[in-house]
Amino acid sequence: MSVVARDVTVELGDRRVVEGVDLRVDAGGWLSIIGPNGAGKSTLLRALLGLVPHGGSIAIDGHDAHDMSRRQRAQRLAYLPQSPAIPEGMRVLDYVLLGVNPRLARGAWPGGAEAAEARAALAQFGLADLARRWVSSLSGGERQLALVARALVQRASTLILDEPTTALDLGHQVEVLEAVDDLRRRNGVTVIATMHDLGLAGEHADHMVLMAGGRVVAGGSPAEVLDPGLISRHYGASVDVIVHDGRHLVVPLRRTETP
Amino acid sequence: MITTAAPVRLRAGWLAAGVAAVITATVLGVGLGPVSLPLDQVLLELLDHVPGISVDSGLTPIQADIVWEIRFPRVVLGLVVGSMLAISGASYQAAFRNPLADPYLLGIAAGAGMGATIGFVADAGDAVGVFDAVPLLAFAGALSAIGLTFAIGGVGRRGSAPVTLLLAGVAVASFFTAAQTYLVQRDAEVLRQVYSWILGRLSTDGWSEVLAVVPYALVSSAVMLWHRRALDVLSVGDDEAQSLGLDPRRVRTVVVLAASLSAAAAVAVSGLIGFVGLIVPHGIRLVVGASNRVVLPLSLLFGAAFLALADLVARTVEQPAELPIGVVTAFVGAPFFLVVLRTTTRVQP
Repeated sequence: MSVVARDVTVELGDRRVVEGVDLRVDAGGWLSIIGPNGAGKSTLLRALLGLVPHGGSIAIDGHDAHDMSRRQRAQRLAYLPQSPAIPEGMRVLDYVLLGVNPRLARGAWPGGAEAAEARAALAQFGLADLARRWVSSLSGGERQLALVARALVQRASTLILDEPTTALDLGHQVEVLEAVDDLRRRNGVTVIATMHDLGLAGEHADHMVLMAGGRVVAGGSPAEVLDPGLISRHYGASVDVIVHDGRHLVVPLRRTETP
Repeated sequence: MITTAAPVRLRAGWLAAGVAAVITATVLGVGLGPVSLPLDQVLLELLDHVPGISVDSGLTPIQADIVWEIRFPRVVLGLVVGSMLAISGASYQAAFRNPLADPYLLGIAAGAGMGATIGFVADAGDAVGVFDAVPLLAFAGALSAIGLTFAIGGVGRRGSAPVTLLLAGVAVASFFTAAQTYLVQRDAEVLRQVYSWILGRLSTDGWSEVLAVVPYALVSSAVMLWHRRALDVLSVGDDEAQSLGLDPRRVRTVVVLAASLSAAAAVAVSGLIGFVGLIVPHGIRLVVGASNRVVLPLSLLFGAAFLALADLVARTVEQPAELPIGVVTAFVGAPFFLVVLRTTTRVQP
């Protein structure tokens, strides 16, 4: 009972981008949302975060999101965007410390306890050496890890990730997702992530949904959703799903057989 | 491994440097001029007026009059206007996340210019003190322009982007500049007055100008300083800032309003002094980083010292004539800024 969405609809201009979506993620679970470009995945995440107005109802930790202030919502949900803004002239420690904002009184400054928490968060993800560096000098992978550390400092119960690994190489993709999984296992954080890489999407998730045209068209365990027929139909590409060691690996197939 | 890194804060050393800069600028500004006064005695004379301190400066009564009646009010006006322009610039840059943002961008300069031009055309400039028509009309013009920009730019409306506001500012500024040019063309006699006003000047008639701007300086600076942590949160962009519990539109609206009010009041008493709102915050960022926790308070101090020194240059290099201070801020400020830019390896906004 961490995040429950019922009949969520989002209209941008006169276009209905998300339509009648029902979701349910249990505390400590990992939901991966997959779907082709334009399926409404990111918009759905933005609705959960309160960044776009939406119809239907969203409950976070049993509380109606409509009744929550921005601060209250931020105390429960942390956000990792696909391409985070890079503040100039800000050190990594101060960047991670921004996570305390939702629980800090207006006009107050983070104190020693908050700073210690930020240092511990950096250490948890192997970033202690980078604390004094400028955020703008970090690599893409380091930056995403710093965001995960910021989410830890935010003490949110749910982490919302919008294609967190799209811009990263393979090694950093694995590293960032392991960091998120670490957060889930050690800190009991719930994860909702949109993912382009279907193999990685299924790797950590205990539940998946497939979105197309603004609707959820399939949901279930990775084994159920990563179905060759289902993927092929909605992505417009032929795929094969290879099961190896209990993992579901989605392999795209060429349209015409090479001679 | 746990790091020992500490969060950014306003270090005592930086603060002391800022205060020292203000004191130095004040003593030099009061001591130097057509009649040179011994700087040590000027310092003692100023100290003598600090509550709780009593020293004999050794200045003659005439020299003391020069200090208190002529130079000190002008230096203080320079300090106040400089701090207002610098903190407004720093706040604009943070609110719009744009290193080139400046209060003049949203039409304040053009609006004030048109207001002042109306004053000159109506020949209303020779009234008394604070109630001079030109500063009042300049202030009204600046507020009209910024109000129009805000109305067109849709500030506070859901979905309005900062870039819309900037574009509205550009359009409003063009409109007011066109109106001003039209007025000047029709009445070429005021050209010299308008020209000299546009280049900026700090002239005082006792304390009236200082008293007129200080309330704006205090209120607007307090609002901007109060929001400096929010401005740091805003530096990660609107979406992330909102996911961190901030209302980006509210913060931007309040901060930009306060900064605009401050700049409009400064422009009303000093004309258009360019460059201060850009180079002072940037120089500070190059040295201490971009946290508004540090940049905003230091902008107040170094902006004050910078403009008081610029005014000293303006009134001494071509004695007895005075250079327009806007010329000095650009002439001195631009090379200084380039030196800081070249000698600092950090990549900053």
